Amino acid sequence: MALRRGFKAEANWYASSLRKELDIAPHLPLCPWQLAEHLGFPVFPLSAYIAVEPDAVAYLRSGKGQKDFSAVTLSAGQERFIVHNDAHDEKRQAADISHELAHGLLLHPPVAILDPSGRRNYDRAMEEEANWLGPALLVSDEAAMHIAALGLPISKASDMYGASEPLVRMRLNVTGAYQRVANRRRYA
Amino acid sequence: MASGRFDGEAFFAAIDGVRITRDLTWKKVAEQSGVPASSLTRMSQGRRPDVDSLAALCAWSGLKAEQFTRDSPKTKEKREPLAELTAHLRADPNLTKDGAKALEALIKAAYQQFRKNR
Repeated sequence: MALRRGFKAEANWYASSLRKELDIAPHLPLCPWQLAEHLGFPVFPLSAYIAVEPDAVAYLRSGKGQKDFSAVTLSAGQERFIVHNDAHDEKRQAADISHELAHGLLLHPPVAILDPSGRRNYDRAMEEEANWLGPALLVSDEAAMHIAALGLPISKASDMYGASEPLVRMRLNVTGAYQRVANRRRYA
Repeated sequence: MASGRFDGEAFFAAIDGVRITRDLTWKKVAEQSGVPASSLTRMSQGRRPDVDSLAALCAWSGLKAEQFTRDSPKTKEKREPLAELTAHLRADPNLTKDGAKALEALIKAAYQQFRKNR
């Protein structure tokens, strides 16, 4: 399914306008925990529930259980909060939280997880938007251009932006950053 | 003495109504009204708007703030039943049986803690 027209530009706008609000240059890293605080989204790590649900938490933190749980946004009345799996490495946690915040920023209405016939209800359009915006918040268009212009190794960019190497590589690809930098140099 | 309380939830719902009528994205609402996207997200979370955002959104939408002041405090919204939620999770085909069970327990605990602290 294709993203709606203009959505990629919209994602870039969110990434840069939020940095502006937080007084962060457009090409610099954006911490998802800081963004969550700015947006008024409480974020709770899975480990916070170890005293009340020791078995469940232990399972979800185990190698097998980690695959079952990344993060979830829960609504209590109108207010939403995020619970995420802090057994994952920090870069993965950043991507998970960023994905959940993307839903929040786009004001995606909470959907019933089941459709009327009782099957899993998956809003593909909303998921795809969050799949695009989440990484774009972490590695903005300007950030991708910055990485490409400096010729930063992916591993270094990954550490700088607190995002996994595959995520950084994906953002470099989808923004066409290397090509755009090359074009700029060619026509400069 | 007159007492009133601004119903931020109703105001946000009305703004959303205007947005839908005008066929706009939230980004466009932010741009046209001059209200930051983050403020709109915070309002959607049940936070009341600051005075500048309220004035800007009223000007943008043509709504009047006094339409959203209430005499009596709002009654708490009905919470979604936990049973429904757990049924949802069980149906997720991507989850293992153990995972679904653990997630159910986690989500129940997370809701309970969240409500307790509110």
